Amino acid sequence: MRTDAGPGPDLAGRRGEASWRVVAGQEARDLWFGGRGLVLLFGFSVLMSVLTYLTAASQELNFLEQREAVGLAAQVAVAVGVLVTLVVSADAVSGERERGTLENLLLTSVPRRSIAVGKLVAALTLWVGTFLVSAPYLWVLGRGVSLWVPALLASLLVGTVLAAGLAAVGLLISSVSSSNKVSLTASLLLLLALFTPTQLPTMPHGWFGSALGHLNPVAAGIDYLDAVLVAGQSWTTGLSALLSPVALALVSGGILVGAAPRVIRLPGGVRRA
Amino acid sequence: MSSRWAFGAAAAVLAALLGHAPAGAARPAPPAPPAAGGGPDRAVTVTSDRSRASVVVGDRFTVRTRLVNRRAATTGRLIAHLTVVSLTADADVDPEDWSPRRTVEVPALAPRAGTEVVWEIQAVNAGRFALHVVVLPGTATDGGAVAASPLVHVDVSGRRTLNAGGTLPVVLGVPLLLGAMAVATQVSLGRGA
Repeated sequence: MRTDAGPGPDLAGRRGEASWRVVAGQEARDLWFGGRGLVLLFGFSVLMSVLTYLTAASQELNFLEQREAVGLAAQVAVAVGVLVTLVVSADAVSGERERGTLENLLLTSVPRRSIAVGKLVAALTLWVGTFLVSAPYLWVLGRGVSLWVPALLASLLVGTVLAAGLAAVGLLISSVSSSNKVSLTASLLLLLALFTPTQLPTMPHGWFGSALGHLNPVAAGIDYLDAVLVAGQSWTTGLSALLSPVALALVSGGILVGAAPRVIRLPGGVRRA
Repeated sequence: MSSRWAFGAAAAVLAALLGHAPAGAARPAPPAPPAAGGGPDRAVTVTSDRSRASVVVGDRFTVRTRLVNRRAATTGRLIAHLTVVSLTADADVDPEDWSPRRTVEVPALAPRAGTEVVWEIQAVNAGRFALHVVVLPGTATDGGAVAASPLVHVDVSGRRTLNAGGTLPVVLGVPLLLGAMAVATQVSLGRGA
């Protein structure tokens, strides 16, 4: 966040507006007008274009495989959207600490909780951008099999819940990490660990495998997308699968807001290069 | 096959002339075990509610089959299995795609009793296909005979909904638009600095 000019009218002077909204607005401006957000979305659009063109160019696709292609596109949209949101939130506090801009932010009259919520909301705008970019691809792939509306709604639901939960986790990691590298590495490792079970050919059977599948919020979200888009299940039937993503969002968001005054801080002492 | 039949017939004639039966030919058949079967003399017959269906690719339809025990004895446990076969050489069929539940276990049927098995099917390929249901005995002791339903011919008309050319406006347009916006932002940032 740019606070080179000090607290200024941007943050401290707008008392009528909720302070978290001021932080969110400033962070979002930095993200989007600073160019980072658009570059990330450009990379995402290239990935989706390649995926869509390869799918459309295949003459051998049968009806079910076309549904699977829509499901895959929705999964990629959610996965990449969550990934970029997590990366931005993992950089939000530790990055500012390293760039030396956190001190200015902490000197403003904005409460730490508002800083946390503002940064969370700003990170989530990246998920919204990813979702909006994925919409035309899902339309192109899914219109022929009457699947583009369910694909949009299901990926919006799953992606929003997952992005909120993992962005809060990323912010927590970023707040307590000693350096930005540690924060980014830990966040990416966490995401990788959560995504890995979704790529296994089969999960262990029995209560253990079922529990693993339901407790892992990413696997549960991807399974829900699969059930709605590929298996043709009604979107209300498997809603219980989204319990763990919703729980992650509520718990990590609650911890972030509760712990923000203690974890969003600058360590004392002189920093040695 | 025909030479084996001719040899068997010649052996039977020779055996009849000599007054005894050679091994493997013209022996009195043992009583047939209670088994599933398709013909009128079989234990179980399978019929379906339709012989033909014309659908568009992606459509879902159902085929109802009725299994009837024609014998006076109760059958053993039965297994009904749906099979999809392409009638044209150019279409590969993955039957799992057509119906996720292709094998059904049917409880033992009382004498003269019947049961219905409903198959939910989705046409995932275009072309001409035949569906049929076979009913097998569920235990080895019931013998090896199977009963098969009459064929259900399915004509699936194609509907090409996705083509590479149709996706080009999105596939090229979205990255170009975002790339232009990213470049414009960087340029304006550079001017501001």
